[in-house]
Amino acid sequence: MKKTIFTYLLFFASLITLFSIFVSAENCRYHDEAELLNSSQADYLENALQDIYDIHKADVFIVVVEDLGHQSARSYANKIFRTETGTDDAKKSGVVLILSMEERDWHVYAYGIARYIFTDQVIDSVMEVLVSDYLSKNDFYNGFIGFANQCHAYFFRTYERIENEYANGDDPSLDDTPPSMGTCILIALSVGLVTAIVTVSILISQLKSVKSARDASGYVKHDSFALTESRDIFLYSTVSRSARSQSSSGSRSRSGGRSGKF
Amino acid sequence: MNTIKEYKCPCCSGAISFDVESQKPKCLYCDTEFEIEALEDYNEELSTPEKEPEWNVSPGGAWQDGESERIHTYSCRSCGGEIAADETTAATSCPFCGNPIIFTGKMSKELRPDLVIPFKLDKNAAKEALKKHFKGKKLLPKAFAKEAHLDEIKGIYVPFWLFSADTVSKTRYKGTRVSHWSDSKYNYTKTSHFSLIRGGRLDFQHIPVDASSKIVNDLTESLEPFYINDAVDFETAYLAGYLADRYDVSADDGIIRANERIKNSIISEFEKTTVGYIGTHCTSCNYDFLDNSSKYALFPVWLLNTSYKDKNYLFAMNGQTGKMVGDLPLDMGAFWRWFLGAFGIAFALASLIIYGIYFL
Repeated sequence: MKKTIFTYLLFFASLITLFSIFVSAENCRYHDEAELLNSSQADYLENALQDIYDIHKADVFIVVVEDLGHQSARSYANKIFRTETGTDDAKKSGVVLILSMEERDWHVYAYGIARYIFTDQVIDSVMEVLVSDYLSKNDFYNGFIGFANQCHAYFFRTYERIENEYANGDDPSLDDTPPSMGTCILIALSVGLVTAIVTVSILISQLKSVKSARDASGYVKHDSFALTESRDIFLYSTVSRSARSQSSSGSRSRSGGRSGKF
Repeated sequence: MNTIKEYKCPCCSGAISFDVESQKPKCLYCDTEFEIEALEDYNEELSTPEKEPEWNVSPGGAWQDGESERIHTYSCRSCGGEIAADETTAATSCPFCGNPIIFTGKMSKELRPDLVIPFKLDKNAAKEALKKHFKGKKLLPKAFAKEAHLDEIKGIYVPFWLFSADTVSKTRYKGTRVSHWSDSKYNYTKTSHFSLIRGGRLDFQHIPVDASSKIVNDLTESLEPFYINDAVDFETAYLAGYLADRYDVSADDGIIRANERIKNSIISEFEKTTVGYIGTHCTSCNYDFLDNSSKYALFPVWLLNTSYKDKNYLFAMNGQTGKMVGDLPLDMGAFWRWFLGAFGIAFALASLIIYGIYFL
């Protein structure tokens, strides 16, 4: 008995450990593998990014990596956004800037409502200035602060307008943004529950062998079946319809992410 | 005076009246229009009640001179069971409840069975089949197979009424066909409802109905099939060494069960011809007999009584085919181990897959 209890405790402990994958780490908006900034600069930048969240409820992340390795920039950005946002709100919005030092690539991805603010044109225009004035000259601190300021300015100017459009139709947060932790847990729990119920139902059915015969199909004389009458009579029909979802208007564009060199 | 016909709407069962504009019958409540033929046919179905056909039941025969003298009858005061045995067979305990039985007389007024399927498998085969029945059952208490005490094992001929019938039938079903299309603004779904009429012939041979109330019908039907090809004309010699349960369910009462099974077979066989429809269900089934007959037969069954934790478990084996049936107890500890184990593994796998899809 004790062995069984211990076994199950160990098993569920391992499940909980697995779930630490989904649990977000301490909410940190500036990640720097290359240590481009000193600690005071990093703190200042972190505060600036936090201010953007406090005012606009939008998460802006700046991530510096030596190189992305086998991962795509998009999947890396997804991972950062998902694990660092620390909120289950399906409407979460934000921007991720990734600098890959070895290739000297920059990547910008927007999520949620921010994709309608940081369109490809906006990202290109912002990064053109930042790259030419700061990043290409290795002035990363001013480049990052400039990026934060630009984010703040764009959110400030267009956030309310976009929120109205969002309320009227197409939910921009659902396409590429990973599901919330709550949704992931719910899906995994449902899969586990269904599997367990199906498994034990099959095993219980093995114990039951007494059941009445539904019909006498086993006692039908061979070749005695003869169909002598067959009529299909139409009675009536019903027609229902549902509105098709409207496609995005041509004037409203959104970003799929941009990349460049610095 | 002509009888006035009232028509009911196949869609909502509302009243129908003839619509002058469309020149078609139309429902006053749901505005659905119908073709005349469809409406006539639908209402003919409603006005034709289902009726059960009549059987010519006369199974069994009369005992030959001196034959019945060799069969003794016994009665159990505990469960009321009545059994018969050859005069050379010592019957001392009831095969149904295990209590002592008393001799009550000789079989004389009973019907003589028409057929018997002799025992093909012996007591040892029954014991082996019981052991095999326990194997591979993950939720069976492990102690049950070890500790279950085989109290009694008895070979008994169970009385059956065998019903044969050549049927002609007319069944009606309702089915639907669904089509989809779209335009620039809407997605459309059209559901068309049909009345499907099927008629024809289907013949049945030797449908067995348990003629003893001592053994539940579920148990005897679970033992099927019994292959009538092995049946022989009844002789008292076949009873030697075995018990025979006496019938206490009349053939007229057995007809009820036979009719149920025949009707279900007719509905399912003719439903197979309704191709291309979804959600098909039977709305009426009428059948009659071109010919019918019945017989009284004895079929071989091994009854095994076991006890475990002061509870009795009855198992039965078809004495012809060796099929073993009997419900087994459930080990709740094993149930929860399997439930939590399956849940944990599926949960962990689902978590890994979700992580792999979204975060790698």
